[in-house]
Amino acid sequence: MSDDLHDDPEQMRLDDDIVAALRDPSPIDEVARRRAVRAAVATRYGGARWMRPLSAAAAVVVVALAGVVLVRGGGDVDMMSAPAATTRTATNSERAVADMAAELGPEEESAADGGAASEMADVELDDADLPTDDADAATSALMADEQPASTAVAAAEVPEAAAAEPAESGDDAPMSVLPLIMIDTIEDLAAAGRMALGTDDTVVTDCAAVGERAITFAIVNDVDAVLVITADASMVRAVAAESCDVILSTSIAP
Amino acid sequence: MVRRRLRSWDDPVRAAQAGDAAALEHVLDSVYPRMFAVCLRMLHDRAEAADCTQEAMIKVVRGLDGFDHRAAFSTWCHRVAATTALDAIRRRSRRPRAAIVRDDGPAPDWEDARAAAEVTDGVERAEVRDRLSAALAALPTDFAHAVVLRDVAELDYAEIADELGVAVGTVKSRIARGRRMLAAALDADDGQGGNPSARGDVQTGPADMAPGGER
Repeated sequence: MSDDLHDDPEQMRLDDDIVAALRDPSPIDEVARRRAVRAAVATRYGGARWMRPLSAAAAVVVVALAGVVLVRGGGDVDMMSAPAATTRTATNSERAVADMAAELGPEEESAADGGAASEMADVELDDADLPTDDADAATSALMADEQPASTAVAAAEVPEAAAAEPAESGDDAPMSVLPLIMIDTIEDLAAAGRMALGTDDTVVTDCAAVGERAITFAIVNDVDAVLVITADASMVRAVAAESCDVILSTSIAP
Repeated sequence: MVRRRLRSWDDPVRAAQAGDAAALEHVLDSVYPRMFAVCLRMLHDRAEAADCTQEAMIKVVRGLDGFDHRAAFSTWCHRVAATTALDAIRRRSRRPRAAIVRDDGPAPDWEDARAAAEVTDGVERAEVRDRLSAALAALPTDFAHAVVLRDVAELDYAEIADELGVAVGTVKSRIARGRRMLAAALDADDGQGGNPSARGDVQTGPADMAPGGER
């Protein structure tokens, strides 16, 4: 066989059963599958839900489990003081949905959703209007725990914002000025995590049993959400057991 | 569940483009397995592949209005998945080795699903998949990517060349050689006496072929 033939893929095919096995990713994690589909559908149709004005007391708590950052935004947020890179304007799809919503009445908008929103709303939420105080409680509990060795993050990885704002624990700790982060999709969540960590690294979203509910919560309830950045997903799950409806967790890929 | 409330759309993709959320959910659900397969075969890590697939699906949705139906919707989705996976690999390669100790905690759901699948699918089929995953992971990356883009994502040579940034001739060469290495590795696993895994002149695999596979 000549070299040309050796390099001709048409002359060198894998058996059908091997190709079929390559294309078969079994077993498929059905939770991840539903999560992905819902996140994608929500990206297209759910935009209007989180286009609430920023001053509408939307609170976002960002906790870096490196143990150094506690940031809270809420009430009237001075977006002028926020770094441009951390603010997010509506995407085209969101604008389109908003335009459509403006043209249609609320009932028509609901119909236009094709049931996607109502299905998401069917997910049980223990406390759909969980106040910020509860989020604070969860945050305090989280911060009060001694950081286990498995969550250790090298000093070099501590976010710049964290380095600029030395760690202080307790309820009276001053809040640093990281701006409000609008979180709607997994993609935005990951972007927020990257921003908070000051890294371009991949931020893997932890969306197991807790995550799906948390994301659903964020979708249904606008931006009232907690973003936990941690290298230890089990820590997130432990905290989430107490207040899982408002925790969006991300972990840093190893 | 999506699959329990299927409707008969003449063209669910056009329906999705026209604003039918249920149609969109249906088409996304139907393309998920192969998109996940593309990501999994590129990344060799199920959790990372699941995240990558989700990211790719969001890209699909954001680009849905621009899809012009000149190619099959599935092919387009596979390409988006491939692009997203390649991006993830590039990010991974740039990532500094962080001093993070990972504690995965309780076994994720898919471990249970995997066990169940092995029962229902049969141990033999699961073993084939595992051996294939290991063999693919052990291939030189350039060859493995070319094979996956062709045989899993079903991209044509020009599309693969575009994705990988190499000439079409190089793509063909990598696919042929990658397939040959893969088949040789699988045949070696069979103890030299099994059925050949490829239709062609199977040569020896790479010298550094080592056990590996999905995480």
